[in-house]
Amino acid sequence: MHEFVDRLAGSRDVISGVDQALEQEFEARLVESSTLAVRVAYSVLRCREDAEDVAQEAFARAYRAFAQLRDRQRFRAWLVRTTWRLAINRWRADRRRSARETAHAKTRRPEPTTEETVDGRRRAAELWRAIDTLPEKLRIVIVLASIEGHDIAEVAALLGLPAGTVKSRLFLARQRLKEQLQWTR
Amino acid sequence: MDPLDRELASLLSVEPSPEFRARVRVRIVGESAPRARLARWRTVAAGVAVLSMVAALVLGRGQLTGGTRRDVARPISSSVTSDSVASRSVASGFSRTTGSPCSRTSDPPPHAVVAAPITSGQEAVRRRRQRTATEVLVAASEVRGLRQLNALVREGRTRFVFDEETVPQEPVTAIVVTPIVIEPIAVASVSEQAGDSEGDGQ
Repeated sequence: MHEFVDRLAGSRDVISGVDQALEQEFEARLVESSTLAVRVAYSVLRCREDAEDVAQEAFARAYRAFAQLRDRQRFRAWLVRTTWRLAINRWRADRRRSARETAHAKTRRPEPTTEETVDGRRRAAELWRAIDTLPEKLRIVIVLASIEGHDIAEVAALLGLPAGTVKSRLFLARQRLKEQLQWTR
Repeated sequence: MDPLDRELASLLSVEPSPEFRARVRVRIVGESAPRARLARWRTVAAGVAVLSMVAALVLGRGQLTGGTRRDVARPISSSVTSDSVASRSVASGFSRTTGSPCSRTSDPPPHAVVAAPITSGQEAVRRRRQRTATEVLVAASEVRGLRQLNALVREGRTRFVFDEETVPQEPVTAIVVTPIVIEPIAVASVSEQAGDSEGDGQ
């Protein structure tokens, strides 16, 4: 009987040790990937608070499934895709809600960027508009390539796509953005 | 670096607020507590389900074993063949059954049929049945047929269909026996018999 209790206590220690290891790993992922998640959400929502809400939800979901997401690359890819999907859903819900609201309702304005000058804000607004015209599959590619200096291989790994597909989509997205910006300027 | 890439990078260079990670941690802690409670309840529910399944299995097996034992034991034990029993039954004239045919082995007929070993639980059931069931005498030659019929009915391969023309609809409530009247036999007296004999002699 005592032996059984000792073994039970030992297994509890092992389980709590595993839990602690998981917690530590998740903490490390949270620290290194929080900027990525927030930026991905921000590229869709253009509002830091909303982006943080969405990123928080994505991390909570990642925590629930963390036993299957312990690999770093897998975790980041899963996080990017989940954050993007959640952000798109949030953006669509906001758009539907704002369409239902009356004309005097307050419309969300883009978050001010690091560029402080008026000219910089104008250019940023033009760039956002140009990004909005891109199809979703081109937009995610160029957003991820612009975040944290990801190269084609990293973007391909994050999206689970072949590198050639990412390269062609990136080329197409840049081309369209340049056309849009030249047309507006 | 391309100017467009630079502009894009600066456009997306938003940093999470300092409290973002703390909020995520709070959210996770808030979620993990109910999940732990839920996991505990799930464990308890799973344990109860397993226990009930085991209990159902044990009870079911007990009933099944009892039923099978009865069916197997009913004819006769493995050491005595049904043919030998039939011959002995025929020799004795009648086979004695009590209640349903299933309980026959528990009450061995006079022709020394050896029943299968019976457990104490079955013994109790047998005694209870013996107390309540009525005793029916069946001809030994019909025992095997009755047993087969019983088995067919139990397996659902046979069902009884009553012919309404031959079977009375109303149950028999009373049996009326007409009294038999026996007339006394007229016997002649002794004097008359003697007179007759004297006349014969003259």
